[in-house]
Amino acid sequence: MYLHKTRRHSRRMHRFSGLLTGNPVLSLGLALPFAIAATFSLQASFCILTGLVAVTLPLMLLSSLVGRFLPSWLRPLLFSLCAAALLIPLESFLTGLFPTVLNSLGLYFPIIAVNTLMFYHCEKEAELSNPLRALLHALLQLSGLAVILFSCGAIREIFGNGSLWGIPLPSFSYRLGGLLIPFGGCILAAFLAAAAKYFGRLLRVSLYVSDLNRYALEASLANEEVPEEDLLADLPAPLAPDAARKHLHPDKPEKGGR
Amino acid sequence: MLRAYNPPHIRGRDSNKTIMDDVLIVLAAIYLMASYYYGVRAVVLGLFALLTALVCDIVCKLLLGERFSLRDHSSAVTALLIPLLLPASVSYATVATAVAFALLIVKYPFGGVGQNLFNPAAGGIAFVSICFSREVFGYPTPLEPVPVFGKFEGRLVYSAAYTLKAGGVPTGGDFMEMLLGNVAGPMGATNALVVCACLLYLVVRRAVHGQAPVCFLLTCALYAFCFPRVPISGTLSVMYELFSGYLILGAVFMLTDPVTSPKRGIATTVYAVFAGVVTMLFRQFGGFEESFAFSLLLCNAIAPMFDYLEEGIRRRVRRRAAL
Repeated sequence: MYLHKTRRHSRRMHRFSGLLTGNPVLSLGLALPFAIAATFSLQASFCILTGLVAVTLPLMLLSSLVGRFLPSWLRPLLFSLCAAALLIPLESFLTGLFPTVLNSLGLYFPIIAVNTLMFYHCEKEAELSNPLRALLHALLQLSGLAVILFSCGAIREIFGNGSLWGIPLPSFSYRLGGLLIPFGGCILAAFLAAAAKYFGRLLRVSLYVSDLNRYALEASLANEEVPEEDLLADLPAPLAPDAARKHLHPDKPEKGGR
Repeated sequence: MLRAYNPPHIRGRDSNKTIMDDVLIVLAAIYLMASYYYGVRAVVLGLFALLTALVCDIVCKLLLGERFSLRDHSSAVTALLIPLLLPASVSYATVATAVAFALLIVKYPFGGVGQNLFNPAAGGIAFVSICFSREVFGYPTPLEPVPVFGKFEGRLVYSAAYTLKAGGVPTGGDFMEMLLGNVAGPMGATNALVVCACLLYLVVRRAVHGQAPVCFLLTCALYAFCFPRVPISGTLSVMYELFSGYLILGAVFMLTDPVTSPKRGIATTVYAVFAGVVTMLFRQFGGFEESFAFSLLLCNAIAPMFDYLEEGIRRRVRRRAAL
């Protein structure tokens, strides 16, 4: 099949959208203030992620069930109120576990009630109205978000504070305090987004080249003329049929002769 | 594929290389003065910064898939400028951090030579000021021996900028000593006389336009005269404000960056006045004793707006004249 690997890769990426591709922070630019300003430590990332999961997951489910019955102007208001109602007990619970971290987060924990990730996906799920799909989509998006929040939190805490989860790391004595301020988070998020785009493109191009190589090989075996536009400039010229057959089946004995 | 070339009949005497070479010459003169006050360490810091810049350049060119060329001296200028804005007692790791940040974060991600939005040296200095403020704002006394390698074990003193920030009147230096650089401060920025001579050389060589640094310093002087931070006379306030920190050095080498400053004449003047006001406001209300780098980064962000506004005003004037 033509472009077999490329199409399989594309289907897999689409199936796991949010985790492998379409990351909510790096690709869609959602929940950026949390990823940039609130991930100054791993504990802070954990608190923010807990709040986002506690708010986004149930509200996406709710939106898929009743969203289409609500007028569009009422949906954001209602979701914000529900999110605030979910956040208040959670904040009390987390303050008991991480009092200094919640104090340092300041405004960033309460504004989870109006985060863009929740609004964006709730509106999408209200249109689709499929609870199972909404649940799966929510899990994938929140998994992708978790990867980014924990990565940013770990990197900034290790290189900015020389600790991880509040435990000092003796091997990291050179600390860059600039990473702990939002400016450092912004730069880190930008480089992560660029790296994700670069490696994603690298993988797609390698699969595409591999598919074209295979196509050229199969066409030469069938003694077909390969259209010029199907060959990349750096691909090897089509092999002679015998050499191509040997390349594909090296163990099979050649026909003819005694 | 069509390619655009400059018309061959329009050739200027200056090129990127000649401008950068002129700047390197004057920076060498400043390093000579710094080595007089602080010893060989000043020069070795500069060479180390140059080596760091070379490595960063090679890495970035490899990542971009471009050919590395030794004819591009822009990174060398950035690298040699950064240690002059720091004390002679600063560690080599801090210098390397500043240079790496300037090139890997501020310069190349935005496109490299001629396309950076912010002044790389200002970005590097701002970053190390945040990360290592105690090291960046503690200065050895001039003419006190500083070891070439290793940590400086002598006494670090505060500069006049810190005293002004704290609300006190600086002591320990008269006008002549401040002019000749015999006061504690960034190792290349205290030699006001040498820096002014460098400005004169660059203006004569047409490497920079003199209007930006002159307008900037006049604005700062006027602000300091009208609104002294401490209860002293206007003249003394002007002297202390201009000669403390790296205001003059920054005005000559960073404000005149041809890439990040406006291109039009009147826009450059307005930009310089604006930068002067912002710098003095940062000094008065900011957190650091010397915050010229931060104010310059802010001005770089809105520099194209000055060109745009001037073009709009000129267009309106031309339309009215045509009517």
